[in-house]
Amino acid sequence: MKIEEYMEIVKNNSEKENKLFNTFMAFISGGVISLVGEIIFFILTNHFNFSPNTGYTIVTIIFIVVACVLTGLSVFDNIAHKFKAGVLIPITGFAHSMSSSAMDNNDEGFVFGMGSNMFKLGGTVIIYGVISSFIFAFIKGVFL
Amino acid sequence: MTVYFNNVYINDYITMISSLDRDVTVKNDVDILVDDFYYKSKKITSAEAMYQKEVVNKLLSKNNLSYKKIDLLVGGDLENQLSATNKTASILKIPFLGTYSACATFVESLIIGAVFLSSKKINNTIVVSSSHNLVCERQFRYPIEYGSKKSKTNTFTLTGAASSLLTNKKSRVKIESATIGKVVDIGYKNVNNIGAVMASSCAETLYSHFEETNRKYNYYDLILTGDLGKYGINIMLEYLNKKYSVKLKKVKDAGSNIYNLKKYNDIAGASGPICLPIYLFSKVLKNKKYKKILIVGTGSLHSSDTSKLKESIPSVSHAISLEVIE
Repeated sequence: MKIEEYMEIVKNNSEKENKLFNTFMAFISGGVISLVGEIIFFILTNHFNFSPNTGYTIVTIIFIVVACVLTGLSVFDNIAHKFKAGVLIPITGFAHSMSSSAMDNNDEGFVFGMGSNMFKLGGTVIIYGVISSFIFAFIKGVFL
Repeated sequence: MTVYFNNVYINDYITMISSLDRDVTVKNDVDILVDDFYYKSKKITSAEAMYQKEVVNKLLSKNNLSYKKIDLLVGGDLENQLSATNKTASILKIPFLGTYSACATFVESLIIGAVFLSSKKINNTIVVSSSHNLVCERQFRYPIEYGSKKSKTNTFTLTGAASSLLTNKKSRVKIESATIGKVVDIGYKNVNNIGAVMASSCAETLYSHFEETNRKYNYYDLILTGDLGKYGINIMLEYLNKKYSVKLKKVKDAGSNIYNLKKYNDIAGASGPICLPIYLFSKVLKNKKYKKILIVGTGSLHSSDTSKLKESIPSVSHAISLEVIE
């Protein structure tokens, strides 16, 4: 049987993912995280009188710590399944990917296990983030 | 390729399952039920070997046998290079043949044991297999704690083990014949829909079995597939119908019946080499209406790199015909 005919049979016998619902949940969850960040930033700059830069840094640190602790308590993956990709896009997702990879390879020691595998999922973000920053900075500097 | 066996019987079996994450329908029927991913070990990789050791030791003690009296141990698991079964074999000290055909491993091991027994080269053999959810997740998919997107066609690997004792002594369950399947690669690439990967080889093996034995399609009281899942079983039946104009009835899938899929509607079923033996030994063989049973173990032969390299996934299925003698 040809693969096209087989794909037709597979398609007839599978349920479609509810993409609209997933998109909506991602929108809400991502928005809520950003809103919480803004509220913390407001409290830090207006009530505690931190400078804006320090405020941003403290919010980022709070998100990273919360994401890592929830990953360690085996709660974050349930949150991600329920509230979809909205929780993985902000810095919480990057911290979650690093801490889950580190936890996985804990048995293999600090150097070859945890150390070398920590960036297994997050390495892509760093590499392509740096490359694209370079390209856009080059375009801005030379042509604009 | 169908082989017929002389005087090969399944004398006894032990099933063990861990139902930590999800409720299993067989929890009152398995021999050992635990709630522990780290069963008697510090690491999950050693835990799988402990599961296997438990089921084999219980099998030996239940039949008043020592490991010295067993001629052959055949088995396999899903871990890289059969690490769990190799460790078990080193503890048990029985001559060992390791087998791998993913989720068809238990059936393949039964065939190999039956061939040795039928040709009277050995007197008895123990067949063992296991799987561990966290080990499989880590090896084939993402880190255990990572919240990756799971599609509805994904299956949930069981954690547990199963063992069985085969001899030439007459018992209730006879292994009558077996069809060794050919590997089928139809070009399908989606590793998140394992049911669709395995359905093609399952259908081909079933067709070969009926053609070579010259049996009618209603010969068996039950045809039990391994872990096609709730979508895979329908894909297999439609494939058989479209390609060979065969309408197969009385087909059940072990993987779709181990979890209550009305309660857990986010997965397609259970998977792993032990789905078939656990459902067969705990539920099917206890039901007196099934006298002629055809079990078909289905295996998806992908490695951890197959999906990353965007290659198509081959699969294989092996079938065994069982007769229940009262």
